[in-house]
Amino acid sequence: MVTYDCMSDTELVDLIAADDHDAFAEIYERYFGLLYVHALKKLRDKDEARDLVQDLFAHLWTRRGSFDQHTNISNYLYASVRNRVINFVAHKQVVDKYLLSLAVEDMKVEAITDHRIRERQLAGMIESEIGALPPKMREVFELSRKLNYTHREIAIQLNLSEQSVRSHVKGALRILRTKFGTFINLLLFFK
Amino acid sequence: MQEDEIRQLLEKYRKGQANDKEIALLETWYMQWRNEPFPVSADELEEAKLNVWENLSEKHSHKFNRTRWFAAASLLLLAAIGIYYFSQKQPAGVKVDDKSAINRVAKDFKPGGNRALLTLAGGKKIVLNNQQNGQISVQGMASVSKTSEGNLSYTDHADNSRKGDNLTNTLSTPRGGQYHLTLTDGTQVWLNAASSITFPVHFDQGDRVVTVTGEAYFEVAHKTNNQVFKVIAGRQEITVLGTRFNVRNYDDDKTSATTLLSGSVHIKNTATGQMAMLRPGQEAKVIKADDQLTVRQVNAENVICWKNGYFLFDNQGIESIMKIMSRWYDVDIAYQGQIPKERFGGTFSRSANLSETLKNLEILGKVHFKIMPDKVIVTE
Repeated sequence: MVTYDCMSDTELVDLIAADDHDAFAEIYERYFGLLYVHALKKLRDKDEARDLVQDLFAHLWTRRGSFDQHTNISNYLYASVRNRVINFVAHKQVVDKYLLSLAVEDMKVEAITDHRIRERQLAGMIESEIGALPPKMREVFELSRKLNYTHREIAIQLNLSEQSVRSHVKGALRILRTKFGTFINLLLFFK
Repeated sequence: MQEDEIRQLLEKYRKGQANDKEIALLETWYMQWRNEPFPVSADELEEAKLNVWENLSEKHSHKFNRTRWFAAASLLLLAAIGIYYFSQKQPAGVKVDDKSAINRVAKDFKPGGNRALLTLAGGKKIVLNNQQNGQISVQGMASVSKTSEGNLSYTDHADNSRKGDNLTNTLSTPRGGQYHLTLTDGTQVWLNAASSITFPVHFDQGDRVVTVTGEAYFEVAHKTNNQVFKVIAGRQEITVLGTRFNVRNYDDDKTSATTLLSGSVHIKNTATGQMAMLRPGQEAKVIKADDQLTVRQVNAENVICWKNGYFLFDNQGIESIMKIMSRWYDVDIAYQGQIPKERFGGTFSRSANLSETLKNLEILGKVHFKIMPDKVIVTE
């Protein structure tokens, strides 16, 4: 079985960079739901949200060659969807329609200058919409989080780079991937 | 923050004139702006997901269609088998009414074949059915070659200076695939459909350990220093010296089993610690629901008939038979109405088309099949 579902995002990004379509499909599986729900929340228009997310993924594929193992794909995707929404709002003739609602909200905004904090907040906000997804989409995403976490944990415990842990763990994960619980066993095993 | 201020920021942003601080402000504002969820149903979400994916696939046509990696290869294979099949089959004067023959041909599923994916230590993946015969890669201390159609072989590399980590490779078959593998210690492994084996490319002094999903038949080479060979298959841990045995451990089966053909094996259920020694002709079965391990006498040669090119069913329920069909013909199975209770037995060729195998099953008992473009429907 080709089991992309038990790979971490970073492994998938490596494969995408090497033109692997199935790895791209797996990233799509993981992130489409969240990105779409987020775009919808901001744009409040299904067609516009759909087009925006479609362009985003098309762009991701086009520039796959520029990714490396340090690319954090979720942060990249979240920043992309935000930038695209801002761009959309700034560019469209509908700008008035959008801005009308701004006046009402009239909120106090203090700029968060540290972009890493902004990044984390954005990720938290987008991922908090997980509950809005159908169970299947939710599971796919949650499993991917557990995978990323597992690799990081093991790397810390063994004092190895994440990269080398990934190649070691990959085989074991493939066998254990059926149940979330088994990841705990894996952690114990490595202790 | 006033509307005007946002307007100005957006305008600057649009013109690409916003500085870092202004971008930070805009991005911070963005997180607070419009935070009420927009209602959307699960169906709408699924539909949007499918729809966008189709558009993406269309745009890039062949570039990233999620059709499996072997689709192109299997199409060629199908065409070849199809032509061969018809030229062989039609003149024989078999009694088939024309209409159903056409129907079946249009929707038939071809049998599986030698297809597999090899994952090297760095994560690089190689579709073996597309490879020429010959050396494929050097992995640490081992050289990897496709020796003939459906055979992959690992041998110790002449250049022993290539030390370093002992690397791990994985060979996996899709539904409708099978493959034969020779490890560096001379152990031979036959992988059935929808299965995988993860193994070290070279064996050091310690135990020889591999992990398996799905079904595999092993002929383990005996080592003079009595170095044990261990197979981990789910919660089964099988320890042997040199012997022949079959391991079955599909995720979607209710039981997993180890069947011994010769020699002796030691089997342990790692969940309960329960252990058993098997003699030739015995099978250890673990019921996954309660982790009970039982040993019984079987006709062991029957268990490995898959490796020799046929299906053998012995008093088997239709559901477990259809699972095997689904794996070999890469087809989904659906049941309409009651699931037939009858049990079936018999031997069928693995190289026949699905329609032929199902026709033979229909003759045996009260069960009917309808081959749809994407699945088989089973009715009483």
